[in-house]
Amino acid sequence: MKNTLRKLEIFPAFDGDGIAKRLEKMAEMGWMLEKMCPFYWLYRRAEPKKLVFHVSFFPAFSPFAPSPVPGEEEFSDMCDHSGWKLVAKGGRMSVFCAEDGANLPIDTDPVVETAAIHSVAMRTAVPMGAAILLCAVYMLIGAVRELLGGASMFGLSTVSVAFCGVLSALAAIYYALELAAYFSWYTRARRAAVTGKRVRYTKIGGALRFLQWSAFVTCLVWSVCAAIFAAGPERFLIALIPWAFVTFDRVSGLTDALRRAGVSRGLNRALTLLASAACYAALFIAVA
Amino acid sequence: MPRAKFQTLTEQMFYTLLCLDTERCGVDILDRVPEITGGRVTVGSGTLYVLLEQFLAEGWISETKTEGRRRSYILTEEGRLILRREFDRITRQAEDYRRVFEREEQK
Repeated sequence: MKNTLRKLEIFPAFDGDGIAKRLEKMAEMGWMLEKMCPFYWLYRRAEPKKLVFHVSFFPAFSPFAPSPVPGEEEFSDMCDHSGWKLVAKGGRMSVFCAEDGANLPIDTDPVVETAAIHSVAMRTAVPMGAAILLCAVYMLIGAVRELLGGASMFGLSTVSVAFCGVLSALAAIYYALELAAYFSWYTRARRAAVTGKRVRYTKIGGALRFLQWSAFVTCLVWSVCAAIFAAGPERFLIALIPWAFVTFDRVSGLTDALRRAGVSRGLNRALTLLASAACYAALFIAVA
Repeated sequence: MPRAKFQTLTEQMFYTLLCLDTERCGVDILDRVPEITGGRVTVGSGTLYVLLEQFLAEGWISETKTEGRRRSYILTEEGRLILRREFDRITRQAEDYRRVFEREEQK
């Protein structure tokens, strides 16, 4: 019998309530979250239990900052004092669980909670989402122009250009949707917080999951087609997709190891960037 | 730090600052807030952690000592001023309320 379970979990960036609900369901089925990895979440088999989960976002908990950040240990004690146990941490997101639903909530002031989430969003998901959205729109315009007989796009075949266009369109819709959902939630949350109320995150989890699976299927179909009719630029692109996943996974591991070793935030960020650049350069040299 | 739109403190900001009239650590504040408000107001650990970090950054409180994992804090002069300003604002609101309703009762 398997004691661990790896699951690809897709949620909008700040849907703490949605994540908590999912983890409560998993705990009831006897699977307890152990670790949040870049591409999957690791669950461990446990006694099925009715637990309460809560997800918090803290601007100070940078994935590059040496661990523990100032006050982190005291914060952990304060959570223990209120009956909450830290289950897992991923970047600036922390997941807690408690046995008793009557515990004092972790976030009790919607004004403070909304401001903390917005501070995290403006440092992470918003600039990253906006950058990917711009790239995707640029690629989509390039693909459409090539298909309509305009400028050449990296010397790719028409089939590959069409697949690039579909992938770019999916990525553009995904990030546009995620950014729109975030700002829609933030506008409502900020307004409601003034009167002491919390609002739930915009429900787009289903749409995001559909878009990610569509992108995955598109990649798979294109990889098979391109592997059969591969020319120079296609070879690079086929290798780029799995290589990007491996690089991201390994580089995240390096960031985490440096953080645990107490390396300063700036140096950690620089080394992470350098390692990513070196990985992509290695792929480029190998394919060329 | 106060709510930008209204330039006021939330109840939890107010009571967290109020608790730091004397030196206290985070866990003490968690217990002290419901104690002085008769259980009407509570501050969660996540909210308190964010508030303490922000109050430190604003210079409204200062760290007095660290014992193991516990850090203790106390109000600074600036923090006292902010608290006093909030007290004056709430008092003026109460006075205005009283004036309006007392006038209505006299009619």
